[in-house]
Amino acid sequence: MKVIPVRSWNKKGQMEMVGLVVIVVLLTLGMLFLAKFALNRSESTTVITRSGLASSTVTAILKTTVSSSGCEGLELGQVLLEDCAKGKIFLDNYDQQCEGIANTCAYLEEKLIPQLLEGTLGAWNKRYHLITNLRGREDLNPLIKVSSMLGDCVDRERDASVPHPLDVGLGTPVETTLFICE
Amino acid sequence: MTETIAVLFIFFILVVFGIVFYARYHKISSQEKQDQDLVQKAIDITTKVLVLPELECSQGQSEAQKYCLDLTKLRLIEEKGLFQQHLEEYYFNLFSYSTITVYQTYPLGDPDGWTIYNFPKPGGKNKEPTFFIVSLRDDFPKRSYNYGYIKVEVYS
Repeated sequence: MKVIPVRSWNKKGQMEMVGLVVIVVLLTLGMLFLAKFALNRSESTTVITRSGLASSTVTAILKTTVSSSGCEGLELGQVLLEDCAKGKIFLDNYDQQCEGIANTCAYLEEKLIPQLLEGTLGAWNKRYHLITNLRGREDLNPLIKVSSMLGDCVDRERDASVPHPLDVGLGTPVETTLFICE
Repeated sequence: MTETIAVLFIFFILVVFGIVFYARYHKISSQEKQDQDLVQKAIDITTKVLVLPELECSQGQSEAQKYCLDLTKLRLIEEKGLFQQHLEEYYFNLFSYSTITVYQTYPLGDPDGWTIYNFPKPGGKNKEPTFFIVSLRDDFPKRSYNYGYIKVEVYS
């Protein structure tokens, strides 16, 4: 009858187990290391750049003097946005007529603001959307919504400008916000 | 004995794998850090340009307008090369090795823009452009605000 040396077999098994434990520990450490590096990547610079860019863009847009026929020399923010808000309130009755378009909101939404944004943010392959609301009038909002050719930033990680309120003499301000994302 | 060798073999393979991984990671992360530093430098320079009295839209005693450059000053600076003239004693300390150009997109302006500072790093390999949108105030023939952007390129 063959006798199996039980003790030495057990010791060998223990050694192998120790080796396996070392490998598992190393693999776990490696994964933790990987996760730490993957999660720890700083995006602060991008965020600062994007929110700063969004704020400067809205400020510049609202200040722009229009050069289109029919509304030459008018300020986009103060005059055209006011006309757009008033027109929406008073059943599509607009005072201005830029490039022959009777609806100022449509002119801003379909022509002027996309022209401004696509020539800059669009040309730099930035995804964005701009929204103008009349505070407290959800039934009319958004007054204007412009999205980039690449799409909007609704379901994406994004940075926004602070809302730019503009008193247009209606007792409630018109607020414009620009969202930028990658 | 064979098992021990096998375990040691796997152990060393894992160690080598770890070293290779770390070396690659270190190379990529240092490149990223360099790029990020370059972007940060471009942002710093853009911020300086925006608040530079030589360029900002001043309005008498009041505070200067935010995100706005004065086209009259800009044209004069480019025409006379003022930043280049006083490069060593002043502007190099502000803008270092960079190129600063201002473009007007509405109404459509000169496609070459106004290059107000141009001092590329000799032998510089990397170039990082950063853009920032601004208003451009034009006082002639009458006051208007145009739409444009600043392009800052920094070199390393």
